Amino acid sequence: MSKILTKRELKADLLKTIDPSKAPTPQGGMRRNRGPMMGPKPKNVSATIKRLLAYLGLYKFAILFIALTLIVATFLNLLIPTLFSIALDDYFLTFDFTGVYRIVLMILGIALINSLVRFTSRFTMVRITQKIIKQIREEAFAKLMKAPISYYDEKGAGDLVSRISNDIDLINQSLGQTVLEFINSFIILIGVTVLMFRLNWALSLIVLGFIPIILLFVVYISKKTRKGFKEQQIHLAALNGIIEENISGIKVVKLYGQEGAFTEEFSEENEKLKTAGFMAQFYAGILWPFILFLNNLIYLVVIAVGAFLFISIGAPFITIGSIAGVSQYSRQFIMPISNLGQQFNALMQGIAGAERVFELIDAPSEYDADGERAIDTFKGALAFEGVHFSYSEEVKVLEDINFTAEPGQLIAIVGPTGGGKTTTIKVLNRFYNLDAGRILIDGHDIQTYQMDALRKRIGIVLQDTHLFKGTVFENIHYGDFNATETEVIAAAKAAGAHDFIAKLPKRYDTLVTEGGQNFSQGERQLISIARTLLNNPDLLILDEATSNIDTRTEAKIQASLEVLMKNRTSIVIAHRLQTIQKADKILVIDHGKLIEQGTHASLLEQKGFYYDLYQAQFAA
Amino acid sequence: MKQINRFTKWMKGSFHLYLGGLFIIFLLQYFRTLPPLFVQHIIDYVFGVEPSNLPGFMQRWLLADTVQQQLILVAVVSVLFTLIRVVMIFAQRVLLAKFTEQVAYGLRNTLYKHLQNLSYHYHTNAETGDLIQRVTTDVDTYRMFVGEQFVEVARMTFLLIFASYQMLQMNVTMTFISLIIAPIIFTIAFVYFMNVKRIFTEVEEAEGKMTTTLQEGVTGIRVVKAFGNERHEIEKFRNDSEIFRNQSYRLVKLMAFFWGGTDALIFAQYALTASFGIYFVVQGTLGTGQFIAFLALLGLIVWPIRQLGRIIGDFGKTVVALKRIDEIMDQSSEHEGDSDFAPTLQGNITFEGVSFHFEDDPNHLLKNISFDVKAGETVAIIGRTGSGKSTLISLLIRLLEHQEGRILIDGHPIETINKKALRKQIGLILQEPFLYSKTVAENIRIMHREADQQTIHSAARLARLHDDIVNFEEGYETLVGERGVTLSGGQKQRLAIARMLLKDKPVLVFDDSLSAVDTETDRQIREALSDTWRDTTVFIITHRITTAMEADRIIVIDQGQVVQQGSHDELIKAEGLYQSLWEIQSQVMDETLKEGEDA
Repeated sequence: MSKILTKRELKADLLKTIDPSKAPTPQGGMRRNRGPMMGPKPKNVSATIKRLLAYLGLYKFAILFIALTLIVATFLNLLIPTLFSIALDDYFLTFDFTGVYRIVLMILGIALINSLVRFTSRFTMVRITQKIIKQIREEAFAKLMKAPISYYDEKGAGDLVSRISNDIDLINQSLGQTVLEFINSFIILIGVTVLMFRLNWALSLIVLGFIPIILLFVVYISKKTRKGFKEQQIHLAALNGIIEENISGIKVVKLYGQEGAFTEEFSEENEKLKTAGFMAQFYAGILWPFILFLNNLIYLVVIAVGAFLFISIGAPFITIGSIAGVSQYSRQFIMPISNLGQQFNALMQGIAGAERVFELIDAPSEYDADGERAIDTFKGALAFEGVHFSYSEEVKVLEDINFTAEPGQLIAIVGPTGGGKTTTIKVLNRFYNLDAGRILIDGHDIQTYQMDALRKRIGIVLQDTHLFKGTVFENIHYGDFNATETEVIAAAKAAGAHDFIAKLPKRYDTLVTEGGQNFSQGERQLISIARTLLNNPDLLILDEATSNIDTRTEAKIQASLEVLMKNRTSIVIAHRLQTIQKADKILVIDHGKLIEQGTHASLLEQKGFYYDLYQAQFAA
Repeated sequence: MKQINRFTKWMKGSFHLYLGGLFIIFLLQYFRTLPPLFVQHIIDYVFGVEPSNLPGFMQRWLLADTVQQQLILVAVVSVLFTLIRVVMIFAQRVLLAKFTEQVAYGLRNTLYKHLQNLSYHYHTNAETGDLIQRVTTDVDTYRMFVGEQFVEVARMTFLLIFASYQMLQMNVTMTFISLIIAPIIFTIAFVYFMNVKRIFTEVEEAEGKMTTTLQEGVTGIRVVKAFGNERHEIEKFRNDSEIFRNQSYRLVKLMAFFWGGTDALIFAQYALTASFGIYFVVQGTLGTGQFIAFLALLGLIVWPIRQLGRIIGDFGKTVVALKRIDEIMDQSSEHEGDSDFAPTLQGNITFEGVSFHFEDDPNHLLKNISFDVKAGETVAIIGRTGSGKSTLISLLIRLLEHQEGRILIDGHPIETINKKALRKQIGLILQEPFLYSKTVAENIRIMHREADQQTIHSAARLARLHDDIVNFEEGYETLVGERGVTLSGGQKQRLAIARMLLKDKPVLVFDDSLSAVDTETDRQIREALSDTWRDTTVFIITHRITTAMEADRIIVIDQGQVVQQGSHDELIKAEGLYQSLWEIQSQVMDETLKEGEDA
């Protein structure tokens, strides 16, 4: 669901970034403060900013140019009230309007320049941002691919995807728009203050006195608004979650006549969303009227105090024109302050997002400790020497596993579920590193081999097969990108997958949806077997590969798997007696320990664990 | 009229809020056109000698003897007006927010409830993702339309009307001059935004493609690494990222061109108004104040006209969204007109010459099926994939309605029994069960929400799942799915079984639901069941002979017909499908036995 949202958000963001009317301007027009989901506050602001600046530094001349034009435009813009005050003093109060047009034209000219500058600066900034974002995104993804599996276990797939999509979006917003507006607001504020004080310092002091009030209020309301929208987002996500889950599971609901069972849960969340949505709108709605009110209040106070000063002291300390000028400036004062207040939050979010992305970029790469030994092909001699392994420190998963396999042998691993069978094969291709001990292939520790080459030479058919979105062809081709179409089809035939693929409406061009959900588990496994066959590995690992395929298909692929296993060292986790009996060696693993090993016959003779297992499962 | 109804029918019940909000907006827009007139009043009337263009009643409020007094009055009145505006803006926002949220709330509730009542067949054919989008994104599109887009259009229309009115009041020729470019800008904006959508879609697609690569790379990381394909993925992502960047840049350039171009047009309008204005002022046909008021009024309307073009160009999206919503609402509920008869079932099931085919497909999936099952019997239904085994069960729980013959449960024709009551009493266990991302306990409790802890535990024990669960860190409170533990195929199936065992059911159906459970556990579960669930009619749908052979009776189905019926011992002796299946499947066992003897 989040994908759909991000797309829509992207649309909105692009618009916001380049559509001047959607951004705050000193003249008015509030931007809705509606950021995406907010994460925790940034921990190390200055380090993150430094790093962001380093990226920006690549474009320092363009940025310098933007800053300069912005300063010029802002000052020109700020001249307008001064021009008004001149017009008032020189023309209106003298009832001589002959020169007033020049002032009107000057104001129009300034507006034109201002518009041009805003336009080019925004455009340049968006362009720079696009480049930086692209760079960051690619760096992050490259690191992600190189990070060890344990990193994925630790962070979770959702979090990692969110860092590259949502958090990078946050940086995008901050860089593309917030930074610019922040700078712009600052320039305006300084400009207004300087010009105001030149007109009349006493009145200006009064205006400055309002800063804390404005800031306090704006920061308070934006916080509330942000919280409101965040709450709305949370409830929307929760509701979408309920919708998604229940529509996915609606068949179950129908199968068991449970309609209405989840309606309550839905209505409750829907109600919460309604309230949250209203509160968010409410707080967002307060800000603008209040600013309008404060704006006029300041205006009124300036004029009132100005009038009093004019009557009691008079020119040259104060003129009607300077009162009008300061009152005009006071109107321009409130927007940048309010923007600063609001943008501060957005900026912080961008920094927090950047921090999370940088954290990912700094993640360990499993290739940092890559071996150097190149691999052409393995002969397939395998040895586990005192292998110890645990995912976390408390629970030992493998304890002191020792065994050897000669090239071309078939090793069957048996034992109860959760005993460590799967883990035994997971450490073989270095998805996880050992706590102690060594695994040797062809006499060399697997750590000394080049890792991706090592993995390419070891074929795995996992229990939970992952297929990629794309065509059936692409999925099989994934096993070897150099393979020709004929080779791909040959692999599919060998795996027994060709028959059902040929019956699909688009054959090899049939699309596989996310996670391969449009194929049955058996078909998914057939495709993944074909993929592994194409890869033509030297070592083969089958993890209950055929347990979900119906009997006929099972019989069919069994034959081809046997051909495949023939000249390769194969390790199979299987429940099928046939495989186990054919094995050159059977490893019985329970509670992380290798408790028995030997051939079927020798193990039966021992009358140990394997014997009981055999009696229970097969002899009945 | 139908179109309008499509837009308004969801607003019922809170429409008065909308009307109130829109009325306040109407007044507010009038007030917005007054400040330029205050300026005109001061310059032309207070300082000058020309008449004021303020409305009569306001002029009366501003009457005073001296210039100073008049100025003070203008200031006071304008500030007062601003205060009124502040209150009105606030009230309008609250009204509209309340309205919008209420409408969205109602729409979501109605839609969600309706979806649940649509037939199983509908849901089988509908794409889940599409349905989800209709309830979420399409509803949100409508919410945005009601709460923002339509309001914006109303606001701008009112403003345009009042601004034109104030201009006309001052000077007719100048009004036309000042509004001459507006329609051009509007047209350009409209055409532009209609066309730029295509590019938006392309950018979205490019981003979608990139996100897919990202997501697939992450979820499939084990496969990526297993084949050592990291570099390939990185290259692919870089490619996608490049395309996405290029597409967005193209969009940005187009946007820049549009905003820059229309900016230029707007300034051209300003220049036109200013030059003619100056000319008229010099001629004496236009007051200085009027001239400035014209520029100010122009500024009020000329900038937002571009937005108007965009929003109106966007209306089509809402029409489409509403159409998609209506498509769901137009489907009739499968429970409409359903029987109220809800007997407690015993489990005697009779099929009499039952045939079935889908409406749009004349090929019969089931032909002339007849059999009779007594309560408490265990019946295996065996057949190849696609033979019609599962269709049979769909007919039994009325997910599909048979066309010919009769299905009787305890002698009642199945159509006379309330659907929900029927489905609640027939426990169907699927091969790939659906689990909610809730806790294990909640997932078991789904079919019987008031079940207590003890019941849940004993059901889990029966399904041989209890030992697995207590090994989880948080036991029964462990979350299932993405945020929690991933259950293995076998654990999922056993959980699905546990669900069904919470409460006595007259009929249980195992739809190939022990396929991922190992043979030993499979046997244990079946034994446990036959001990405790003696009176329950059990259907076992399978292609595994070993699972079927222990049943009281085996029904062999092939190409939609019952081809054989009988016990295992009878069937292996008779020539037919069962025998040949038996031969294929027992080959493996024979071999092993022989080898075992040799050793």
